Amino acid sequence: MDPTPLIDMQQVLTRYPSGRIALGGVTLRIHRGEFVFVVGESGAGKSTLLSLLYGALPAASGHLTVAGVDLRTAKSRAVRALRRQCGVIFQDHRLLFRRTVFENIALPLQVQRHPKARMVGRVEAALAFVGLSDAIWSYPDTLSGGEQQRVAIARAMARQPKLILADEPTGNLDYDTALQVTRYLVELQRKGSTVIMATHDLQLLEAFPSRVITLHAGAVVEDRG
Amino acid sequence: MRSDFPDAPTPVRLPGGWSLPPFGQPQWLALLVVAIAMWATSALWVGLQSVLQWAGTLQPEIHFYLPPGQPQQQQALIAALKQIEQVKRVDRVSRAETDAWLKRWLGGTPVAGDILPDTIRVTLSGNGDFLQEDLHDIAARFHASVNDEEFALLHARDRLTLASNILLGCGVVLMIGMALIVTNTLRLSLLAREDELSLMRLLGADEWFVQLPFLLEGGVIGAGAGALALVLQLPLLAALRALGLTPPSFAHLILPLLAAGVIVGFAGAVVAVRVRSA
Repeated sequence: MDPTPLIDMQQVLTRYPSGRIALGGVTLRIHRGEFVFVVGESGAGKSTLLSLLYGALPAASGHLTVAGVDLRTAKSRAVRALRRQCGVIFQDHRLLFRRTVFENIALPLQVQRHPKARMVGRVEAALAFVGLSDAIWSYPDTLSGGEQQRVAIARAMARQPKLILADEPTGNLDYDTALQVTRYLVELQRKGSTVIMATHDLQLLEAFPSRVITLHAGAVVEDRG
Repeated sequence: MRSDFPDAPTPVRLPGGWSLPPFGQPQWLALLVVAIAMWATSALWVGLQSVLQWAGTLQPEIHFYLPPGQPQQQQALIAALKQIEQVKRVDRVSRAETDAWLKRWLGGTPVAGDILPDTIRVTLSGNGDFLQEDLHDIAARFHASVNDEEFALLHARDRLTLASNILLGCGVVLMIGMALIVTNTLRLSLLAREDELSLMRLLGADEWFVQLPFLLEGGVIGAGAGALALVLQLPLLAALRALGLTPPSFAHLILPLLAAGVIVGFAGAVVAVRVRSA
């Protein structure tokens, strides 16, 4: 394993805009190729932790490095470059319903100014991975909730990111669909990505044994696996 | 875009960069409003330019009146008037001409007796700072009177020039107003696509990449409005020519209107994206 961690957090503290502490003194290291579950009750700080990792929220104090980028001192250009290396899956999937599945999945490629001629191949491969090849020219609102979340996974993996951050991607899904979605993420980890998945679904932890970081009231209370 | 994705059943529209956002009702409405405002401003300017050109061809005349039967004083007055720089020509109006004018004025009634004063017509080449005062001084010196109403024409050109300058100021204000219309339209457009824009930023898009489509949209609205205003000028130009005026040519209007449209649209877009991203 690469001795340099992909993510290095030392005593990171961040606050909500109201001033209340969202995460207080979090210290953890995540190495390349790991699959990590982040669990905890609602409001424990799972989403905040993930938001910190792609620069959507600033850390108020401490040390935070992701893929060699010190997010406390990085310029916005470096943060944008880091985001282009990440695949983010949101709980509400944030699909664009006025755009086709192709356009949704091609969006990160477009942001990266990927050659248009090669976009279709990339999108088809991502959709084939999540078993939705037939939906390429459909609109997201014609798909089920589980299918929409699979499209979100396809979007996150389209540019083959080294880090995938999944914020409760199974939160609105039934157990069987949640298992299927998590299986796709585990498969991405096996292909070489580092996957951090926030969830409050403890059954998934039994189905996919791996490292589990437990948060409570903005602090890491357990780190096992 | 379709050529890049030949299998797509509908045209593929990927956001960001050089791709123009879809043109909807608000954009068409903004284009129309800006075009009307541009047309109104440019129409006033074209009209004024035509009138100014016409006024430039006029030769203002001022009439001086002397009691009849004073030929020496009349000669002295004519000599004094010729000394003034802006005086182009001085003529003595003949008795027959003044009688004919009075008869015409009275509706054909013959004029009895020698009741009209001797008249001197002064043709001016332009206006000067103290011309009116100088002419009055000369008139007073030779016990003559001046037709003051005729000075109005002399001042007309000055007033038209002043109106032209005021119109220029109004045009600047209107341009700011037009830019605000474009700003508002684009802000609505940005608001409608907020989810898409924030997602692009989260995916690591450069700010110029996110904003460029809206700047392009502003430029297109402005250029379209300029083109429409240009087309709407055609009937006005024809009408002014029919009146015997010489308005600026259509070719002279192309560049200013298109450039003004693009500047207004682009300025509006810059304000809109700055406000939304702040």
